[in-house]
Amino acid sequence: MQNRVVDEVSLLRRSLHGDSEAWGEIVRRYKEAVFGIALGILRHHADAEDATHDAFIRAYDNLRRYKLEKKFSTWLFAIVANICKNKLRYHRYHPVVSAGHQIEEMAPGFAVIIELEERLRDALTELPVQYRAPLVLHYWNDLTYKEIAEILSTPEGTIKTHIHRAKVALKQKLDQREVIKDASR
Amino acid sequence: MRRDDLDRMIAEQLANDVQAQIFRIDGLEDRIVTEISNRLPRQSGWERVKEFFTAPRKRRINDLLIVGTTAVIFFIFGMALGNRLAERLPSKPAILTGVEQNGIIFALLAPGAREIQIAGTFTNWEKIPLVDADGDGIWMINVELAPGRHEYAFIVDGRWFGKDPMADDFVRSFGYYNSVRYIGTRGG
Repeated sequence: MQNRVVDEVSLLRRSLHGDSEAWGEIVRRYKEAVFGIALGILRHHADAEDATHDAFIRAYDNLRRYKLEKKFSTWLFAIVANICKNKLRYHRYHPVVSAGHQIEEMAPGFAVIIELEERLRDALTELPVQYRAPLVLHYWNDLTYKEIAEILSTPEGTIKTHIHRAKVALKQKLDQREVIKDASR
Repeated sequence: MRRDDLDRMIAEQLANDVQAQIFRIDGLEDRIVTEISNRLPRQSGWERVKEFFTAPRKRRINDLLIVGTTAVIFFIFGMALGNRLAERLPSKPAILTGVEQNGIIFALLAPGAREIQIAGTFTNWEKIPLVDADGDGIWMINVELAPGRHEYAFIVDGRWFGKDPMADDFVRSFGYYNSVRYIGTRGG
């Protein structure tokens, strides 16, 4: 673990001096985590792909502002979360007609499980973004409330409240849709 | 539904969504490396100064003309805007912009505009209208802001206008700008 951290610092230093291959290695290490955040918040795969790309380009361009004593992932996740928020804000003023379900269907399997997944996916998409963003960072990236608070520039207490409310809202939506009954069949 | 079940379901759902779309970021590192490698190398300030003095005389004159003309245009525009704003401000402008009220004037010169609004972090990105009471093309609003960083943009006749000339800073995403103002402490 220590080697990985030291190695990461070395990669960041090299990137700062214009070594694009070193930055490529950083992208390779973090792309799945960053894509997961973007997909979780935006709930739209093409936008998530764009946001992931933009996050790494913006992070590279602003690498001088990153302080090595801070955790790199927190800084990077803050950038992608910001890009996602701006993207959602942009769509709010420039609405687009959706071409269908935003996250595509998965391979067919057991009907009940698929239905459960669809319902949970819909319920996640319907959550307000201020609830969805901390939820994604907590469950996808396994981040602490403190780290999430730093990433979203929101007080830790608010993050706890938003995650709690998100879970209550999800549970209500799933209960309304009789998921529990379907799952127990 | 048990709490643990819901936790597990959320985590699994997010992971499943990512796994179903993970192919989209295959080779992303190569695309990004290519993109940043193809950029022109960044010049430091010293390198730019050195290049200016070593450039042929004709090019130096051209550069100076461009910089000088731009500076004059900005100066004239700034003076004109400043004069018009000064006419609009009450006799004690310090009261409007001072720390006593935390009131900040957002103003935009837009003759011919039909409707101008402002949306920002301080309005939770809800749009609020600016007013041009005397029809002189200067639209204004006085907003009380808490100390800290505030991001905002104007909406001029429905179009996003994120580059307020009076802003302290700008942020850009997907080709659109937002303006930033720092109240009290910069970067706080």
